[in-house]
Amino acid sequence: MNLRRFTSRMKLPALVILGVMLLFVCMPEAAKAAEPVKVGYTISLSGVYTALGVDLRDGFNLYMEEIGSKAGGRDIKVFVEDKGSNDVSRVLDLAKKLVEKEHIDILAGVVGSGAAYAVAEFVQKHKIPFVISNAGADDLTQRKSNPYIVRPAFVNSGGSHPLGEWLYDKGFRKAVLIGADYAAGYEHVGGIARTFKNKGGKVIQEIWPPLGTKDYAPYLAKIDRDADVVMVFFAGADALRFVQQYADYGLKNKIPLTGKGYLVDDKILQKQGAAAENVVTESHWCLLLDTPENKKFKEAYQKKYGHPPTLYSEQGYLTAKLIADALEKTKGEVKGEEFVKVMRSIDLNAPRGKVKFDEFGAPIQNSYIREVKKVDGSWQSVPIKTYEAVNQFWTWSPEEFMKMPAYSDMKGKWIE
Amino acid sequence: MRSDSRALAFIGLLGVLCLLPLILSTYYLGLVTSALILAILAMSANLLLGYLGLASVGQATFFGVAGYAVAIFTRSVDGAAWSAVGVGLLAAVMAGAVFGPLAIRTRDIFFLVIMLAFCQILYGITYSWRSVTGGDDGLPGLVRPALIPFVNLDTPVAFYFFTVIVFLIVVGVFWLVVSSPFGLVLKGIRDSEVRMRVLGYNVWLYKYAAFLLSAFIGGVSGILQAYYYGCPNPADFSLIHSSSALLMVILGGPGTLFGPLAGSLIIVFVRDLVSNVTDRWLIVLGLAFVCTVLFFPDGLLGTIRKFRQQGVASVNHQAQAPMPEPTAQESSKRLLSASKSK
Amino acid sequence: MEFWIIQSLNAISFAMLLFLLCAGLSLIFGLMNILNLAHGSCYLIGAYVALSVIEWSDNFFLGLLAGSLVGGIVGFVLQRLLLQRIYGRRLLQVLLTFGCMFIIGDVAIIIWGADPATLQTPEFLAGSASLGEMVFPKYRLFVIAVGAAIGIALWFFQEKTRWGAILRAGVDDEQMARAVGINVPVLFTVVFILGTALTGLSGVLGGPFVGVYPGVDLEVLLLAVVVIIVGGLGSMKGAFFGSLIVAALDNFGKALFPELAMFTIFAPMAIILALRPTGLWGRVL
Repeated sequence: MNLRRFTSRMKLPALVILGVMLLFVCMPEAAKAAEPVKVGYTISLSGVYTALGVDLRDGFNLYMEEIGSKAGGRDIKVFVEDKGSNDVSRVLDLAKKLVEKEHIDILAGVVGSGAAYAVAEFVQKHKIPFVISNAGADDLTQRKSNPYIVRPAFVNSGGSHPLGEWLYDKGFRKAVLIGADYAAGYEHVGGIARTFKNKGGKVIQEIWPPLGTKDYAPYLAKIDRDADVVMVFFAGADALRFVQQYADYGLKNKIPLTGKGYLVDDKILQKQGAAAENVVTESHWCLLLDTPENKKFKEAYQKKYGHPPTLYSEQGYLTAKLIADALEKTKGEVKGEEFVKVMRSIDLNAPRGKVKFDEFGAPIQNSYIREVKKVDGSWQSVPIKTYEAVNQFWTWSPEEFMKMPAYSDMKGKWIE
Repeated sequence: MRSDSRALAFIGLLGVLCLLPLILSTYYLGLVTSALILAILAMSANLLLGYLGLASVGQATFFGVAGYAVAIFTRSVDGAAWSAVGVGLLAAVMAGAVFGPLAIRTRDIFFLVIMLAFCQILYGITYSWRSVTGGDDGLPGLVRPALIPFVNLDTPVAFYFFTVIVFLIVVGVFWLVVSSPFGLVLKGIRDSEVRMRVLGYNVWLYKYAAFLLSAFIGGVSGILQAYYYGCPNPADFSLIHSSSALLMVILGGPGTLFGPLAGSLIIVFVRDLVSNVTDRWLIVLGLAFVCTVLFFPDGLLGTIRKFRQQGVASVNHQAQAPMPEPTAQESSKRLLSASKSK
Repeated sequence: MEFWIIQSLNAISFAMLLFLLCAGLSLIFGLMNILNLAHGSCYLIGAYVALSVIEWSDNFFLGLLAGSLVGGIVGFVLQRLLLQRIYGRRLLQVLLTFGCMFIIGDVAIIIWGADPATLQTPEFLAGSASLGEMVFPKYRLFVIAVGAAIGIALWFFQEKTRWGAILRAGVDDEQMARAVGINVPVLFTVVFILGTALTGLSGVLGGPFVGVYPGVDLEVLLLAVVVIIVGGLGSMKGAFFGSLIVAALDNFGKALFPELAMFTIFAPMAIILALRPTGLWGRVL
């Protein structure tokens, strides 16, 4: 009786557990053959960032195809992993998997900033070069920078600085700030506000609706009608709704709408349609950019995927190009920190224009001011002014800049 | 004689768990570690579902609160490690103490929904209270402390063993509680609240105590998770997290001791397998839900046990089945009849 | 003054949207005690189907029809093929619909991709109406009208028609209803289809307003759940007035206390649950 009770209690759990274990023990570990360079690419292919993730992947694959997945005399093997939305523990699980099981040499990708901070710590511990394809949080290459990061994408506030000056130069003086209530919102909008104020402009109101707000009407009714410009950061579905509702409430013809490129992203611009007309935004890439590199990129992308590329496709493409160029330079050798140094020293001839990197791994690149207009029957962001080689610290020195309060702490402090 | 088999059960499981680091690579050991952490979370859901008949899709509330409390305390007070753990557990129990009175006056679907709502409220707080919680960036940089003198928990194997020890302690406590008179009263409440009330039990108090214990266990899991990843973040409160915990319980078998562990091992390892093949993990998770509900409503262990008990009963005419723990199916049937005879 | 008028109109239009979002959920719960957690998925599918149909036919009302129809079909499949198999086990039924939410959401990504989309409003509803300095979008006026009309229609259906009487009989006492010869299984299926079709319809009507994108299913579900908890689970009257209360609190909360924007939806719910667990107009279970 005693024994039977024991076996009946013990066998089941032990069997189930052992069975599951055995399944995995029997699976062979990836052999440690050192021939191909292994690149882990973690992007979002499910959850709210899916649309970005798909383009990041397609752009990356396009470049890999162009070079036949070979650089510096070695094959490149890419492990694409879906990290879901901004779920940090999931991303860390994947990073662990890529490092401990697949033994990757380089980690790339990452869409959300929260995940990027956590991964940055992880790569530093494991001494793996980290190529950030999207996450834009300022401090990744500022106050929390580390020697394993290089970001061929953007720094949230980096492109905001020229826009603030441009708006002042255009004669705007009184601004209302509106941004999604999270770090990226504070950084994108804060950058515009700081240079605008430095020149002599004034911020008269700040409005921070939560991320994912369904109805912007209560906020729109509050906008101070004395303002002569509204500076905005929203992205994705929020941007789609905001621009439409801004027009619906008759504000479009009263106070000009400006902001970062995400507001009228190529993914949503056609759906916003006339509501987005004349909206001025800043971006580090535009579809209409007339350079040989961009033309070639657009044609190849259209041919392979049957639709035009987006900002994110270009970022994925450049991620792959940066890795490949660096491998060419080192003849295929990847050695943690040194490889990052090589990547940071590379001058890229990208679809978006010339890209260099500063000592923190942040891009020094062109910044394009664009206006939404109808071109050949479809809505487009038309470049109207280019600021060349824009540094993440704008005209400040890194020390000066980092001594000022971070944008993420400036919410609510822009009005005098 | 029961304590005999209990001790042997522990030793057996301990043996299996001790052998694993020898045969598993670092990566798979990590998966087992996270499965154990989630199993503890699932056990906290199991206490409510299996022993009170309350399905909670908000267990991540306690999980997240404890993790955040540890990280915030470590950052701002920099106390000794065990005090941070204490604060984390206290925070989880406090959350339980506050939410409990609201939650336990409701039943089945209402309970499910209200727990979901609590989780959303906490998600909102962590997201918007940036100065304390770090907003959507979370609180990266939590370092594993020296919880045990001379042992560096930073290595995967050490942390694995630490998790195993905590897990076994939780299992032990869980077992003691559910087989104590207290646990029997809980089952009595699950089966008929009215009867227990008539018998003179303070039903509310028992439910509240069970809710607090569940919060405490959820907190244990949250603290382990916080130290394992070093970065509490708003996704800790996500619905997918809470619902996975519930699925693990149902999959393994509500009201069983090792069901949650079986469930969490299956989910964690299946997820790993699936991610090699497709990016549509949520379809698989959804299918797992649907299939479990349709084909194994008693969970794997529950189904096997039921089968066995039938077998034993037919041979053994004493038919004093020591603890015919009613399954979720039966208890939800009861819930149905209870609400129909309002 | 102008501020208050505009904000009140906003609140009413948002309330009608909420009512449309939660009416289907409330209807189903009222009769069957099933909380259909795949509710948001019906919204999602309705909106996406309408998106494709409107793109193809350039007709908003055809999209409206298609969206509701497909919503109903999803409901039929859900109820007949899945829920029926575990009839009477409520908790399991709820969990089943929960799993379906994950599946439908991911399948939609495969079919329609993941770019956020919005439905085109019909020509005559585009733009805004203005009165003096006040500007208000025409489409929102339309939503107010439709919401009110559906509210009245549902009330009339429940209180004044034979089907409504049968429905109420089923709600009040299922066994008695069976005894007097009402075919309860058919009734259940019909109501389930009606509820999900209504939700599909809300997806189309909400499409130009809220938009449709991965994750909207869960957001809609949460909003609907909050409303019917405040109003009282299973009561159509509760759903209607609950929508008004939630929308008013949300709208004026956001306008007057923007720092609390994250909580204007969930905090009132928690308070009401603490004071009246069955909601303001809920049946006592």
